[in-house]
Amino acid sequence: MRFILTIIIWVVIVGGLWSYSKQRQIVEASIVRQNPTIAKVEDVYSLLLTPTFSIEPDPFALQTENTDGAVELRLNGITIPVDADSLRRGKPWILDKVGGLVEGQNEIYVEASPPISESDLEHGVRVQVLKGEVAAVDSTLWSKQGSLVSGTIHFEMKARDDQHDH
Amino acid sequence: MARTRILFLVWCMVVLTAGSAVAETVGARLKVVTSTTQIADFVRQIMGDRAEVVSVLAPGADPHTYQPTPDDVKIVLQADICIENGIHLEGKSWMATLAKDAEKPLVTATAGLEPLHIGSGDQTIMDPHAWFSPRNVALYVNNIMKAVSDFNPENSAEYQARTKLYLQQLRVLDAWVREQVNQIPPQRRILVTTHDAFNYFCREYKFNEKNDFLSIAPVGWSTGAEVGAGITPERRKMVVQSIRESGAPAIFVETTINPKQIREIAQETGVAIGGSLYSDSMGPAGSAGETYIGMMRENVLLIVNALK
Repeated sequence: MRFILTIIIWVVIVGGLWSYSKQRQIVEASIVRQNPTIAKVEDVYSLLLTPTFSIEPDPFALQTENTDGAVELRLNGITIPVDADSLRRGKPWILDKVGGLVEGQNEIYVEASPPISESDLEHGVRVQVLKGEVAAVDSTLWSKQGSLVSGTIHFEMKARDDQHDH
Repeated sequence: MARTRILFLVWCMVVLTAGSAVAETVGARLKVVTSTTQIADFVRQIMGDRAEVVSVLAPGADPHTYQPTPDDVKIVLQADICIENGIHLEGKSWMATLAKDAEKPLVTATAGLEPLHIGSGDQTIMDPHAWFSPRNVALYVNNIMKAVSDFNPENSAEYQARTKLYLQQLRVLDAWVREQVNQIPPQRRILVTTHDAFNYFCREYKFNEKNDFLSIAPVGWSTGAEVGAGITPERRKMVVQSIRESGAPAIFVETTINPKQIREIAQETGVAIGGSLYSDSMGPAGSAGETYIGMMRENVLLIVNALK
């Protein structure tokens, strides 16, 4: 009798837990998640990166099939390919007609590795987003001695910026 | 009384049910067996809690002369993957033998590294102590990351993210070592240790200029009986002469090797013992040298304080 009672209690507890988790799965499946509509920026912008150093092969880079780890540039989470050899000290690297800018909050992530031989210096990368010759964004990311130059720049954009359309 | 028993039985069943679920999760962890404590630390940094990492060598053990035990065979038999340093660090290739006998995949962490060649004439030997340069460690961790990602591809993004963070820490460590070593005037950068383990360190951070930026030690590259290993009267004489000529203010013992030789040389030349450096093995759990970065930091602080 005691044994049967124990089995019954066990079945009730486990069955209850199973039924509760099943119920949650059904409720979660019924929720309709709407993707927010994001308006693209209509104006044409260009992106400029100006480093204080020339990119060299980085012994501390993550070596994968997709990246050599020397430079990483992302706009709103989307990777923009950058040829490491084209980033030279003091010379602006220019990307015309930047795609992926949206109305509202945007962010640019930059990561670049200064040469190991210059690990005693503080290095930086100037990031500019220009419409014509007018800067919508102009920020510089700085590194500490020996570390990577890396950081995120947040900025806001309007769907169409009429202020500068003359 | 009967009610208490029943409640106890119910409680046991619930615990057993929950326990089996937990065991299933824990069972999913990979078991990685490494030869040295340094490599075990690199694997932990890359795999986090995804792996149970076991080092065959205990902290303070000497890889050159180590003799595997029946317990090591049991540990390797349970492994999913084995990782060794390579370049003959593991005397008589004991890690490769253990992995081969247990039919387990073996990864060599130094694959692709250009080792330093030490010695002269026909007796040149590849130096296995490559971890004394953080740049080389970057290669170790990239090799380990690729191997474990191939073995366990569903978690490869996670392994890459952890490796990337660790590589940044290594980069900062390297810059910090350069900044610390810079406090020692170049003429006083004389590093004398028990055995020839610090060649990569001397090359990277410009110690022992008169010895072609290689380490000065009475015992050769290995404490075992291999070619170019052990102590010879010529080596000892050379070390004593180097100390006298260079005016080195201090010399160093190592945590994995009997300090007798160095103490005798210190007495003979009248120089101080600068401290005990971590060399072939890291420190025990709870010590400052229980991680690779901690071990390097403590070594550099000892060296800089004794020589500057």
